[in-house]
Amino acid sequence: MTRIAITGYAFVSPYGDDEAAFWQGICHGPVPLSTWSATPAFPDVSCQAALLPPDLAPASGPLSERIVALTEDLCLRTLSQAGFTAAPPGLGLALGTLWGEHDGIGLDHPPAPLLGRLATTLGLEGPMLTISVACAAGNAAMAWACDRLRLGEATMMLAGGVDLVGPLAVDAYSYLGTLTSSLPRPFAADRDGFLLGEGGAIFLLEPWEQAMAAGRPILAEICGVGGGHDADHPTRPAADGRGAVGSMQRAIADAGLTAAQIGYVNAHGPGTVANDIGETAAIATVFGPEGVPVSSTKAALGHAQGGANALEAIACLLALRQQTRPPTLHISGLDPALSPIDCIVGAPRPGHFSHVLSLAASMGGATWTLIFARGPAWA
Amino acid sequence: MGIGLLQAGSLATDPGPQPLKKACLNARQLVALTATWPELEMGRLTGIYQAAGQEKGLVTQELDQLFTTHGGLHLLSPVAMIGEYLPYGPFARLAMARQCLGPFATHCGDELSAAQALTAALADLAAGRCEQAFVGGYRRQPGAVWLMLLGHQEAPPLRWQARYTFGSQEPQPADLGALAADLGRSVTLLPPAASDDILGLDRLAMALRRAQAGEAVAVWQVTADGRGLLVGLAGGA
Repeated sequence: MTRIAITGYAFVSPYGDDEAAFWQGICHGPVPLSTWSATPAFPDVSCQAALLPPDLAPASGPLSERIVALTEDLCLRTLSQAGFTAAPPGLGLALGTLWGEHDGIGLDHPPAPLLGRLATTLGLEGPMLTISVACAAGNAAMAWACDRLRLGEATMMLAGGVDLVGPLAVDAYSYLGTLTSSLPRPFAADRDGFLLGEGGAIFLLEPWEQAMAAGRPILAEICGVGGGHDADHPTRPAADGRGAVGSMQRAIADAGLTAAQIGYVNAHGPGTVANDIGETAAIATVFGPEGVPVSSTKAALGHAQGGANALEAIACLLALRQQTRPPTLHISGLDPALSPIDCIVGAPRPGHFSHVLSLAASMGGATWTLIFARGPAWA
Repeated sequence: MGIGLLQAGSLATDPGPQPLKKACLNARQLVALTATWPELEMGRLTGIYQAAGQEKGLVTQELDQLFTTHGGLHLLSPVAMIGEYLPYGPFARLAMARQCLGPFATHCGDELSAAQALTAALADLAAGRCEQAFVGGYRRQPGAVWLMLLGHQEAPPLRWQARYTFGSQEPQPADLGALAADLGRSVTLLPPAASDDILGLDRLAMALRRAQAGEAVAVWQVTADGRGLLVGLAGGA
């Protein structure tokens, strides 16, 4: 089977677009908190959030327009990092975004189809798709991109996820009671919700042999993908984490690995009461009594919605490169009511590991898992 | 055993009153449709591959109107917010109703969505990531839903190839030739989808049936800005 190499990436996060600052942020914080508020017409729609630094946020305008601009910038930076000055022939794009095509506030028409605009401005001629499964969209998009390469339908794929905070998100999550009153505390007994975040990342994926032949450094590999569904409740994850169990087991099998070979799990871990019940149950089921080191970087990054998985993929890649697992910030221990997992608390945990797993779940029940391996450029 | 089309069908749905606290898409009808299919066995790992075309825009407009008219989304029940106002909501309901625990994705590729959803389902079935696959989509106005169920059956293997193109509103002879070469035989290009064909799903089902009968056929979908997808299906020896 075709191996999928990552030969470039770019990201933007509440800590900026610098890797050292990002790593420092997810390992030690502090979370750059801001107050987000909607237009004066909706004074009640506001919240604390981890927003992009003003100098890196797209200029003012309708949300969907700014998400397109951010995506375009990330794609161009990714190509540049891999040594391209223009889109190579056959390049495609798979993007996870929740609000890029689903928030028309401020427009007198639905947001224009995102893909057509990006195809034109970036010169893309290959497979293009946005995936709409909310907070699991980024992993689903990267999985779809991997399949296009495995099946020979594309020569190279840009893939990832991008989102920004907007009025519909703030109002919807406030109404659902899922936002924290302070800082997110995934897996802790006093967790009370997530912090909205924003940003995203785009990766350049290509067949391993093609990258080797071209002399492009292989930073990492996506060696396993898997999807599943809870099939339980529209807004509440299944208590046994059945969807997450299925997606993790399928990804591990897809990678040809055993659970024991996974050295770190970057959990979905938004910090809501309901999520952690099912997610810890799923991790305990898949990894058994031996366990696996787990953390949620959403405690540090906030929940960037459609961009969350891609930012977490950056965290996974940096963990592989640094041979260190980031902790879950803001907590001192695991909620004893949860299934026991090896949650990294307090400080980053060094080790020797070659594979990491990133788990994502969405409201509505979809779950997607990616497994990353360290590439020779970072060995 | 080969991958094949087990069932396909569509039905009208009740759009319901606005603003909505009740189902815009009639989930009971959706479930009733699948329940009449004897081939759909509960307990088999089933994936859902939704095609979402321009319907996203209509959903977005309704959500925006609710927000701006009423100063928030509080008129919606939380279940309705997820089940009706996110593009994947109705199909998440299907997963819950039929216990579909396999991969779930909503494919938003504009006019290519249905072919992309179908090829994703075929790939997952072939890779053993699911045992059955729903491929479907809906049209909001007038309300209608369309579903097909794919699975393994006693039949010759079904082969497929997808070729993405750019810059043309018609499939080029070179692309058809390459598709035929990939499939190892000449292919018949099916005519464009009828205007009432939801996302072109009915035509894709017809292509599957003809391929299962031993033909080699191709279906072309294209966006206004020239993104094209040519899907070839071939059955028989």
